[in-house]
Amino acid sequence: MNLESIWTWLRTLSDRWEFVGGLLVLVVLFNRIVRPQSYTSGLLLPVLLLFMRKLALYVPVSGTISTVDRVMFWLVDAYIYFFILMTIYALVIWGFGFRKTKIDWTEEGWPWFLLLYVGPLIGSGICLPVDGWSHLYMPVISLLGIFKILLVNPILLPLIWMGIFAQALLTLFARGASAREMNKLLLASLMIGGFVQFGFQIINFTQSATISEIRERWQTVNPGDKETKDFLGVWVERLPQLQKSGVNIIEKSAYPEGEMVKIVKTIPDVWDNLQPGGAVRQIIIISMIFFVLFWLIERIQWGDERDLSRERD
Amino acid sequence: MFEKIFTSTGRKLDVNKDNPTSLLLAEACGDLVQNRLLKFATRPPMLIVEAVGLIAGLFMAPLVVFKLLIGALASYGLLVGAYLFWYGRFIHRNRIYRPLCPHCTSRMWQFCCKRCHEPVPALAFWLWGAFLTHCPHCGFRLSCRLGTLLASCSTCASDFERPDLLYGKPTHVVVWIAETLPAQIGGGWIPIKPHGAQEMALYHHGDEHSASFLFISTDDHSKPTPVDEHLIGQTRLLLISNKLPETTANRIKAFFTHRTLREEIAFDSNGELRRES
Repeated sequence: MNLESIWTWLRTLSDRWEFVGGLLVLVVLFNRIVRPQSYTSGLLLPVLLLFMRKLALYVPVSGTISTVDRVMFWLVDAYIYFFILMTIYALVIWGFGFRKTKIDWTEEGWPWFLLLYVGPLIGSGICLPVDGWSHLYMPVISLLGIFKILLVNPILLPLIWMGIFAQALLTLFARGASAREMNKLLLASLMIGGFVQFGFQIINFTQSATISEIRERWQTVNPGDKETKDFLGVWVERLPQLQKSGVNIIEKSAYPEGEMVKIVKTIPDVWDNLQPGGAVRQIIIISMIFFVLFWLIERIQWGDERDLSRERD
Repeated sequence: MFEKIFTSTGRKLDVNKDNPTSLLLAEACGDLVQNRLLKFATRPPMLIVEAVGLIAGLFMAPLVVFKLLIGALASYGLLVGAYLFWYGRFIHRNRIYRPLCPHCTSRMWQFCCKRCHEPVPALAFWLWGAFLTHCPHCGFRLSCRLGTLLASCSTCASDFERPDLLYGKPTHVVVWIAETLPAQIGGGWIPIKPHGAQEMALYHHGDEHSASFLFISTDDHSKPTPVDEHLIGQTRLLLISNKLPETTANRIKAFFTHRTLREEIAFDSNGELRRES
């Protein structure tokens, strides 16, 4: 049994609802039984993320197509909408979280209501492929969408499994405090992955394709991806029914099969180059080079240090 | 004789009795940014240059830029993770060994620079300072072996050479309730403060397996406890003169836990110590 087959096995397990749900129940029970809870609570986050990875398929992000591992924008306007929304939320979190700003919501709530609800509502009317009353819940659903955009990316599953193994070890050695910090690192890495995925969609914005071409492209770049075939295939085939299912919200007549839409094609190109045999090895080598650089530049005795050494002598 | 094993500013604060807590992610990231390369890369002018380079690179060779970015982030993330894990181990050992400040008996786990005496992150101690070899405040080269990285007490600002030795072995407390104070103590014991009429505090750091405090005290009813309260739990050996009345001995013994070894001692005619029980 080599590493690749173990990974394939883990991936297959992760795609099964009964495994993901069962593991979550098991970990929650384990957490309730074992005392003190702080020793075992670290394991909850990666398992919860594994569950959310499956659940995220049912979070509609308007203007995107998504699998369990990818969120790809097919509409430039939606991309701009989410970019502006993320910036607004980042500024609000920065304002509240780091500046400790306090607000009297009864007195000063209206500007915030305008900023966080009416603004995104107008934005959705302009940018998102959504019809009718759906606009009303777009500001709320978009907030969930931001979480999905940031969390669902190709490094999600490897990080989750690394997290599960690391947390199992930390639980075994009763390192509750380290486990919490490790989880923060896991979330931060996921966020970085999400931002990289989101950021790289800026490239080749002018590429155009029809809905049929999008479907063909996805099936070409993900030939073995069960989720892609099942989910995206169904998504493209049943465009008119999607509004009912709520999986992906799209205006029925806005983008018919033959109409040209702008599509971001760089993401599959970039991610698909990161296969274990090729780019991953290169990235490991690059990481090693950075390790050596971090160490080497610290070891070099700089001019000012030589002066200080003489002063010491 | 007051041998100089540490330097102190002599400031007065309450004794620190708490254990160290684990490092927060933000603190670990902040510590690592003290690395010369990362410090250089995170300067505002460099950030602008990097942003311009990144955007230009994305248009010219997105895959190469992508790999460089992921590689740099992965190495930084792995370093932060490894540092957090090491620091967790460091404080876990510190909680077991419980090193105490030889000057004020506070709990110790910090580091400082020998030149400027400013606090230095534990990163300078990790992997012999592989990723932080200079003082973030004055740029002085830090090394345990050269004696430029010191163990530091946050309470009295004393510092102590060779933190690897101080933090790498347990510190024990020995309490000796004597009838009278000895005139002189040899064998590497160093007085940590000028002794009074009824008590004497000594420190021994020469042993490679452990460091020890010896508190010698005559039975003083004015003090509520034989030694400071935070040292009672850390007392490994309690020596009581057999000339003290049994009720007094029992009263003193009651302060200490069952983990403290209790011995009744006396001096024979040659002046040698002799166990009674």
